[in-house]
Amino acid sequence: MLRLRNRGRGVTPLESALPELMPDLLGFFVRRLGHPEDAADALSETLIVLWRKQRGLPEGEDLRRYAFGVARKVLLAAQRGRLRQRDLADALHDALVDVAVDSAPDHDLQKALAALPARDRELVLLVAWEGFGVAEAGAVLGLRPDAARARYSRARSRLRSKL
Amino acid sequence: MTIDETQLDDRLRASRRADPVVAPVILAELAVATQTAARTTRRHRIGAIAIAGTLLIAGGTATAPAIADGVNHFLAVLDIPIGSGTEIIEDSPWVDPAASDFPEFVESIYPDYLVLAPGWSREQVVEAVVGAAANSDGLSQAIGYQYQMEVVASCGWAAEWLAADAEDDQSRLSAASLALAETVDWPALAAVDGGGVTDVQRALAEGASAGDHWAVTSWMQGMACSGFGIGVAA
Repeated sequence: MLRLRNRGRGVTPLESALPELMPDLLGFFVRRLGHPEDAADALSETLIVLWRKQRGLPEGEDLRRYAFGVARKVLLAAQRGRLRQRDLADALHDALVDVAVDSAPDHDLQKALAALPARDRELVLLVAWEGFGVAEAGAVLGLRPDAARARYSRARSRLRSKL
Repeated sequence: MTIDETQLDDRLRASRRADPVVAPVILAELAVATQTAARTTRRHRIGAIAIAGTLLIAGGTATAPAIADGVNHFLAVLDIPIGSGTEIIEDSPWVDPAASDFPEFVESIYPDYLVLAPGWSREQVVEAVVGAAANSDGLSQAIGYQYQMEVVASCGWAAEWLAADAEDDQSRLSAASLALAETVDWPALAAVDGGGVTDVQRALAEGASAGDHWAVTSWMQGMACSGFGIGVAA
């Protein structure tokens, strides 16, 4: 594994976070949007918001949580067909052309997840797919920790009862 | 019947689509493009005074747009790992062939050690590489363009060898064969030798030395000399 060297220019917290954050956010969108091209545009839009706000951004894990909060709002816009097309992500579009679709989807699980209220579903998926703790996932969605835990537990019970 | 917590976790985990694997340079390009887009929008919002400030901040980029400075920043300063098995060369900056100063940039990295075939000039080599880059998409590393200039020079010598062979001019054949033997040691060819480029070059030199017309023509075809405007019949 080759690593390129630090050449001395200052690095902001957002820049430091991007090498890990960008693949995480891209995966988040790919898992939730039907078309990989939409995922590329959604990532692009999320990054623009983060760049604009970079002076006031938190650091470390708080930054990751904040970024996913932005991504969640971008996702909602994308799901409503309101994602702005900026042609910034052409190369990423091309790179995502061959992203494999799920060859053996768990239809029953998909159905059970679809039956949950949107915020509860996202709470479960942020924990299961994106590696957040329950309270952190709740913060991404604007929920207090106790409310997040209660919703999470209730959502899981509903899922188990349907599967 | 319901499933238990562990079974639910297992099914959730199994349903997770893996993160797509994307080359770091593509993500770095997107990071730079979105940063620029964010700046541009803000600039429009806060007016002309801010424009001056933004341009000052971006001054390093403005001096050399062919060097994709932002992309290099993300790849190098942020210590982004590059997977093994790629042909990415450490310490060679990424260059945007669409930049307005790209021809000047290629001229600035011209390898002075190149020995050119009769009828060839430094300007023609640069022009051939710049012309070929106009038909390509995306960024390449600077060393890639030095490599291309070495290939153009080699193509020139191969064409000279074929012309001499056609005229049965032994003196020119000998000079061309010697020149082609020298190309094996050209550094950019060696640096990007992820897949045996120098072996190919060595085979050309040996073929030329042995009077093997087919070895020279097939090398020219394999290295796509025609893409630089140098045909087999030249």
